[in-house]
Amino acid sequence: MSVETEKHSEGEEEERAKRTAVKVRVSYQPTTVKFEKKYPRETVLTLVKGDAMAFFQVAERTEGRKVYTYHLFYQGQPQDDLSKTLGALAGEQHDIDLQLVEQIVES
Amino acid sequence: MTHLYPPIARWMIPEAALEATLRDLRRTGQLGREGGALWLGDRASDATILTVATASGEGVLERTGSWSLSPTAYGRIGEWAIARGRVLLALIHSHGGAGELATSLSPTDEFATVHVPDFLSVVVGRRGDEDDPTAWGYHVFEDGRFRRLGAAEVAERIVWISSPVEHLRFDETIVEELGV
Repeated sequence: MSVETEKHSEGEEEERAKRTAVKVRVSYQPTTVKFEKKYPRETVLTLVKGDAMAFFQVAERTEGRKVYTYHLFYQGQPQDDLSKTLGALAGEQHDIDLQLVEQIVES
Repeated sequence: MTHLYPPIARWMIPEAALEATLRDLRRTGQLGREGGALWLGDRASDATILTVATASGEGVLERTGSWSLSPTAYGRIGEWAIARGRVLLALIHSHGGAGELATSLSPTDEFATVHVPDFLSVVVGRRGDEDDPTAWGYHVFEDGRFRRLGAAEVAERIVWISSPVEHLRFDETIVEELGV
């Protein structure tokens, strides 16, 4: 394969990757460090949430009937349908910012 | 590699944060309810509180015996903080009564809150009408659980400084800057 054809193929690969992948950044309030990863557009939010929680070293927990959960927020809205894909969430965009959010209860 | 949760040796708290926080706790306390606020700032070995975020309105439940923030309210203040590089350093809330038991974390307090290393959870007695911070309960999250700081450790690690503080009010729909 000539150098030109190789460069053309690499360029095509990059374009294809952009079209088929979404770069995700997840923020979490107790830290300035963000979780960042590229995923295929068909990736469901369950996976993204799990990866982000593992990165931030947090876990959902239960105590009797009490359940403490985390939520992914996008543009201020909770994304609790975790079967949704990144492609469906991002639309035409190639990178999105999410926030990992919890519910605080004090008594 | 950037540390996710840099260890905190001391919390540097502006004296102005005292009045900004207590003003709101007293408001809810006068209604016979618990109140709460978030302390945001820079996380470092000497972590500095820069912002007091008091919560009232949509998504904030203030009841006798409990106070809670909806995820949407928490997310709203989170957007503000993330945009400005502030991190959540502490949660402060009120209980009725006074003394060690009244200013201890309840099982719900320990369970339904932020669990990251060196997160500080503070309890103010007398439904917020306690302006002596040495009478408050300070609890730090370490090794998977909250531990109450003893008096000597409070004197060493909770440092009051003369410095301005930003004061915000937030709920699910708004973050309102109340001044410095």
